[in-house]
Amino acid sequence: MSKQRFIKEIILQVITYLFSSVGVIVVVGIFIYIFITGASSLSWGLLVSDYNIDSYTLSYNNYVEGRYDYNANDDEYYSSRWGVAFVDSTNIEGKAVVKVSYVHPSSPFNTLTNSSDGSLYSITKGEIIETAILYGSDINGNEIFIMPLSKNGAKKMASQFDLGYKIQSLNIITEGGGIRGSLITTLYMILFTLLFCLPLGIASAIYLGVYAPKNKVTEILRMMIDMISGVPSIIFGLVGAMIFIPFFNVVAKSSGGSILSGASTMAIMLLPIVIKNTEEAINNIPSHYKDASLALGASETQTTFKIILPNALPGILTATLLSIGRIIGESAALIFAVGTSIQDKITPNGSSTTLAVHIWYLMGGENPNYNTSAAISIVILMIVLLLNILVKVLGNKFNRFNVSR
Amino acid sequence: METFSDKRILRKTRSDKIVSSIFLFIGFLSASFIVIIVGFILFKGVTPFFSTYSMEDRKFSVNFINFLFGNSWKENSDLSVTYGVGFIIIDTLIVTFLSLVLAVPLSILTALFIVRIAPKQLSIVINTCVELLASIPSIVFGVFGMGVINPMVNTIASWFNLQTPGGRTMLSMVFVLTIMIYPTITMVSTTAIKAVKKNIIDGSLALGASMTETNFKVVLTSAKSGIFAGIILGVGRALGEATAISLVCSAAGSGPNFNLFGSTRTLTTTMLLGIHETTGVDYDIRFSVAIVLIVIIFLTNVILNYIKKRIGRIS
Repeated sequence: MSKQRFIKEIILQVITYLFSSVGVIVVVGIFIYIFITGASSLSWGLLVSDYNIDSYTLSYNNYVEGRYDYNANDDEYYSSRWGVAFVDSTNIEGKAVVKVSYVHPSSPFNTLTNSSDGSLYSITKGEIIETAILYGSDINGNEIFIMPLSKNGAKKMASQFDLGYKIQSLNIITEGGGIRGSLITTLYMILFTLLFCLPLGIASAIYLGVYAPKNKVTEILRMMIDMISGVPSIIFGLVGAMIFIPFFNVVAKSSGGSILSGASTMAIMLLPIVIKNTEEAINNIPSHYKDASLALGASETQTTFKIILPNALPGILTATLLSIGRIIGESAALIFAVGTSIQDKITPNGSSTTLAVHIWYLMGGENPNYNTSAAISIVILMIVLLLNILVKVLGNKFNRFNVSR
Repeated sequence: METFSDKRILRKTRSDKIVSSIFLFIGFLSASFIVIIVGFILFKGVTPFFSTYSMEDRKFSVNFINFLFGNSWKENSDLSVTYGVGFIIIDTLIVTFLSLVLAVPLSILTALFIVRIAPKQLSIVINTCVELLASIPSIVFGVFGMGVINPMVNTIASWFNLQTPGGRTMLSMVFVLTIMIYPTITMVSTTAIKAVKKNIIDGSLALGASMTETNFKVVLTSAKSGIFAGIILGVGRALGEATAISLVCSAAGSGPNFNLFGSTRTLTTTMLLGIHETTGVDYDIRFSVAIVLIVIIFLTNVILNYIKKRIGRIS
């Protein structure tokens, strides 16, 4: 081998190694960035708390003499009379506030009275104490008012609470910024989309795989269904906004985008996936299954529902899992078909938004919220990866007709 | 006895007919959705050109020629309202082309590496990474783009003493799109390279070519039709991508822009900007942009498929 040829070969090999490592670097980079940025915000509280901020005025009218034991951390300040620990923290706008970091199980803070309607309210971790007015006594035993303020810090607040024995009023603000509403919307979206999409898709696949004659018309039908998968998702969003939002405004009395309009849009978008996977599963069923069923006297309908459909189940399951992954990750179509308003009370015909659009909303504003967005991204990534692994496992396990893939 | 069994057969066939016609109906319904989609977009998209809108006490309608060849896009501005997608079309094509320039060599060499060069364990690792990348939802790329690529591009620009609006430039868009189409092209190319017949490779080796020469001159040439199919898919994804690049772009009011560090906009980001409009020309014009997008995707597909056929014929 000549020297020139040898050098050329080495260069080509080095380039190949370098270029192939880029993909790995990018994947690792994305995961590291998302996990480092999101890990601090990702907590159970994020998943279960509301997005919108609520404020309450509470009171406690019994005398409190309790001594509740708790080993406070270094940054916590504990009021042993009330059994509550406070920490210095910041709210969403970055202002210094005092948050509740611990509530003793038998603390009076679990049975405060809501001043507006008299119902019981229990304070949970993470809620912000704005202001309070407590009854206390000075050195001479005279009754005085003690007024802890959020801006004076957690240390002062804990000591002031320790002096008071009755709460006249306590103003608290829930933390907000949680994703519970969007999480529930995403689950609803999956449910309704599958409800709309699976019957249509499976029936179409049965028609194409079992009933359709092998002619030009069937070919054109297949081509048209394939073309749906070539349409960009943002176009589906426009179509959803134009057809389904007005439709459900009339039918389901929604106003503007709703889970129903989003699910219908997603259903059309996912039809090709469902049809393709189901039809492939139907085609993989050995023809003697069908022949045997017909020869035993079963009608064509019976054969379809009792032989073809059960044997195509792995394909349908794969399609379902792939669809769920797409629904969770889809943003462009749902921005139009559902809308971007983040809600806490979720109804199928009310306005709300899914996790992916939630991220888009958080990142698109004036002050992009990187931490929460990355935390939601972690949730989405975990679910999507899990679904992908499941699809792979299913593909290997259910391949009972030994079809090589 | 005979009449009884005849009746049963008759009943069965009748119910079969009903069931099969239901399936036929649903099959045609599913296929008709593409017609509904295109039809509605077309219908809604041409309305801005045929109806008059009133804004700030004056009436106007969108001129089709100005729309198609215009080089500025202004919504809701007090002085003038102009809608011209001409420069947006060019910007979209430039961004797509540049991301292809980056992604295609990366993808082809990665695919070659996975199938032909890498030891088995390493090949599994890299293949898994590519599949992972393909399964990441686009919004996550947007978060990554805003958090990592925008600052990175900003730093690169500062080396050349250039100011960028927080890294929201054409280059960041190109980078994000490259990352997004790279797995698509790689996965299809991997399949194509795997399908190259072993006797072609053996023939090349027997004629005295080295392994590397065989990989580059024989394997890649034999797989080029399949690789091109991957590129077509990648172009489709790049043209239709919306949310991820809408987070890393800035809305250029006019163009076209040929500067890597300049601000640019694509058809999809134009549709996403100002989504809060629900009526009027700013809402309707989005459907016109959608028509342009559909036509461009269709045309690029036709052209690329034609090229693919020509390439396939030569080998």
